[in-house]
Amino acid sequence: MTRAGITARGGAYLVLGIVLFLPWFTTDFAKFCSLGAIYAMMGLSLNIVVGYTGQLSLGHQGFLGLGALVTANVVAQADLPSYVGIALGVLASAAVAIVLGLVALRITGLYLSLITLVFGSAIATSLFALPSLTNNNSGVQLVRPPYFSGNGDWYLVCVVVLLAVYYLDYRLTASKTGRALLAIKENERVAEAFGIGVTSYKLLAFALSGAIAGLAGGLYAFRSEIYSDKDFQDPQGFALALLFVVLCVVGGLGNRLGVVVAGVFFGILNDLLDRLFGIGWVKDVVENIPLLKGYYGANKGSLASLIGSLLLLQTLLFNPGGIGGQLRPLSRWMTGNRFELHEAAESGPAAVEGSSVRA
Amino acid sequence: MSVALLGHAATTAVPLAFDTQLKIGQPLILGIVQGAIYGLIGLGLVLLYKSNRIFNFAQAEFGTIAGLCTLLALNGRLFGISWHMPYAVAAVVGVLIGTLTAVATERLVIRPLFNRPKVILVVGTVGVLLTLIAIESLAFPQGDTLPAFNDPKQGAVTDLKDPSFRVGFAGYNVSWAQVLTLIVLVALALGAVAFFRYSRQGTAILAVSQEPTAAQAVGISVSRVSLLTWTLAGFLGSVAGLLALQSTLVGPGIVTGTALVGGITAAVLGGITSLPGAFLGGMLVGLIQTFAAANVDFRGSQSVVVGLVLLLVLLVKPTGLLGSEA
Amino acid sequence: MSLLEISELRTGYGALPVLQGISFAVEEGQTAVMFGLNGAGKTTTVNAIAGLLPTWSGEIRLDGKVVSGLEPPKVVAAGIGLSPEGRRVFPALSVLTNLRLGAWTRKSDGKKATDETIERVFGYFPRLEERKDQLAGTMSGGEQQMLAIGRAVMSRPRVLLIDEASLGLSPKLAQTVFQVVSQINDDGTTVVIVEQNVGVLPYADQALIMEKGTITYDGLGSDLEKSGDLRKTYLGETSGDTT
Repeated sequence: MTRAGITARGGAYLVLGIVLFLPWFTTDFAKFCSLGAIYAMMGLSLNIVVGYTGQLSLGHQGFLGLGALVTANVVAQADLPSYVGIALGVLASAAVAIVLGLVALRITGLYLSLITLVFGSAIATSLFALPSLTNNNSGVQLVRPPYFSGNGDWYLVCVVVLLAVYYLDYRLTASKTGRALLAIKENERVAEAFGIGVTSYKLLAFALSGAIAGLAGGLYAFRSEIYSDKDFQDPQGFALALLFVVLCVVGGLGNRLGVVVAGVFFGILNDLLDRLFGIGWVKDVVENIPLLKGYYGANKGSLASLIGSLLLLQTLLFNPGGIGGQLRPLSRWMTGNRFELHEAAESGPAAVEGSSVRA
Repeated sequence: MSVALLGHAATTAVPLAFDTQLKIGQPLILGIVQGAIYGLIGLGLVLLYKSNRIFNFAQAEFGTIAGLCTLLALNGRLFGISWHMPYAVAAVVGVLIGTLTAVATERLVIRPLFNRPKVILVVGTVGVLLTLIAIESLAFPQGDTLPAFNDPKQGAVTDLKDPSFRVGFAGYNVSWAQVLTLIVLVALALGAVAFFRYSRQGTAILAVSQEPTAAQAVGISVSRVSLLTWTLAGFLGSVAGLLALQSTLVGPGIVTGTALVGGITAAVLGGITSLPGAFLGGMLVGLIQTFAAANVDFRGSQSVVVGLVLLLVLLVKPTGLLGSEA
Repeated sequence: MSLLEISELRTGYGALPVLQGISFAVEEGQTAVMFGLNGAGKTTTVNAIAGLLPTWSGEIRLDGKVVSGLEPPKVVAAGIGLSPEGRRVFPALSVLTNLRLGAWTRKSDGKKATDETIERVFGYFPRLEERKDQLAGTMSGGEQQMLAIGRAVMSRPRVLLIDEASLGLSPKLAQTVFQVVSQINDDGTTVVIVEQNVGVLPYADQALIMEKGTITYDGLGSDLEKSGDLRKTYLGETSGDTT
């Protein structure tokens, strides 16, 4: 790498850092941005299950909810410090994920997706809604830890945790464990023949995925400053589960950076739309467009989910590499390689087909 | 305990004793009706599984589309023109549009992804589901109640004891809509049997499902069979939706929320490739749910019990009850 | 003009080429046998002729009319019938239904014509008549092979393609199948048969040998035994060529 190259990349990282810091100055927007960081973590969590074990989970909101539930109750009801609450939330989610992983050892493909789907709604209707854990259905209030009480402060916490998770995930892929997981995904029998302990690695992947989701859940509870099971009950719960799938696909299956970008995008999308459609002349125009005018009706969020689902279909049909595939030249350049548009065009879709999920 | 007290207890309802009607009779009726709807959704899922080897997560949502379009046809207004169609016509319009949604899904999403990994197709149906729900939310923000098919006022049901809605049956109240659900289920089941046993197109669907290569070799167009299958599945989903939504508030995603998991479980329980299995599975899921709700006293017992049954079936007998190609 | 003409045919799976531009022709009323090792491209060739694989370049002509690029239903209707590799019968359908599905593209001929063809197939394979109501998947391998060939005959093809007629059959059963195929040929159907069993040679008017996606021998069946090419192919005596 040339000296100029180093300077340019250093500058790029600096700009990225500044951009990430900017929401700290805001209040409402920072809250959306922290949601973006939480979604990004959920994307990474689901990506471990989809990208590394080749299974599609449709119940990841269950882990998010479990993390939030445990954190909120430990902090607000048992009066323990916030980091203990978050840690216990992580442990609980990881433990439940291991149970699901045990199921995944026997049941795979479409059937496992189905099990996860039922898991997500069953845990929400049973455990999440217990009156003793929801402050008799009125929600568990919790106060953010001192020094991090503002929306902007909490946003910074979310970003730092996201970066840590991102780094952890990156280390995982580069490690022996990561290669073992990929080998298992490609061909379980062959991997076994090479002496890779399929069982423990699969469980590890599920545990890790559950832990990250539980962590995101803890951050989520502090972000809202209240735990309520309503966020996780169907149809909202199911919508969340599908949103995480959308993140992973639109971001590019198996592509870490793409998934994070997609997570942030969908986290702040509602707010962006709100600002855009709040402009006077935009409102005048949109109110005359059939369907779009429904935005000003009762279901505001549905425009964001329409955008999400159309992006999902667009990605499947025309752009299998997802956002990650598009960003690949940039991310390669940022990590010290040459900027080549052509390389991305070839490796994008092929990489996705290669890392596609068995069903 | 005095005789007088015993006599008193015998003549009035005993709140703590086992109530046969509440714990067995009522769940039985409700379970069969609910099971019929799961069976219809499951049947569509089985058809599509046979043809594409995937689960269609948008299956139940074709029913919501049918319900909303029926509502729109009953009392619609566009460009200053308003109309009120008779119920039968409105229902046909609803089912037609629901079916067309399935056809569009096949043409626009399934067909282009035909040769991609199966999970991509599954995610594609998830995308369709999300798109439909989002469009419904934008187009019908507040939702409305779909009147029962025999509602003379075609408005909200006001009196559930009204004999024009309910038929007395050994001390139980069964609505005519529930009776209709069972009749339609039996009719469609017989129709399906006849279609697959005796019709040319029906055999072609089975042939493609069993041996796609050989089906092509004899000159059956796999893509036409796929379109036909999605048309049938859309029709079944739409009919199931209309039945599930009788005198119910219809809103975005409603049939998916109430019947998708039950329908998929029904299909898996029946053996995922078996058409009679889907009906049987539907009945079982319906009954398990209503009995659990009536007899197991904890929150969410319905979905937990169904989840456990599903898990057990997949662990112990993954081929389901009737897991053969038929 | 030959009945079936293949010229410069190139095709493969996905981006992977298999056939490197092969050409051959089969005269009307003849039986052509195609030999070659596994992976030489025999199945690819017959699948491409039947329209199951897209033609990348080159042409396939039946009686002078181009059939390459047509969808399988059109190819079958034009007069090419395929008994695919691996006896792919419809396992959960009866023998009779399997045969009726074979006449899928012959719907306009009416039920009577179909029933006549079924009788013809039963004439070739009396065993199928005995088992006509049985589910195809419950029959023995030999019976399934008969059914697969019979089903292909149902479309009353001008060219019948049979992929691996004798695979997994006992030598005696294989001979029976070859005899019926020669009878079908005598009744006026041109036959292209993919085989590894040299027992088919007495029935072959024309012999083809494929190696690595190309045709290395195209000549009279009776000359093949003398020429020694067949020994080379299967015993690997080709000089300086490792396979």
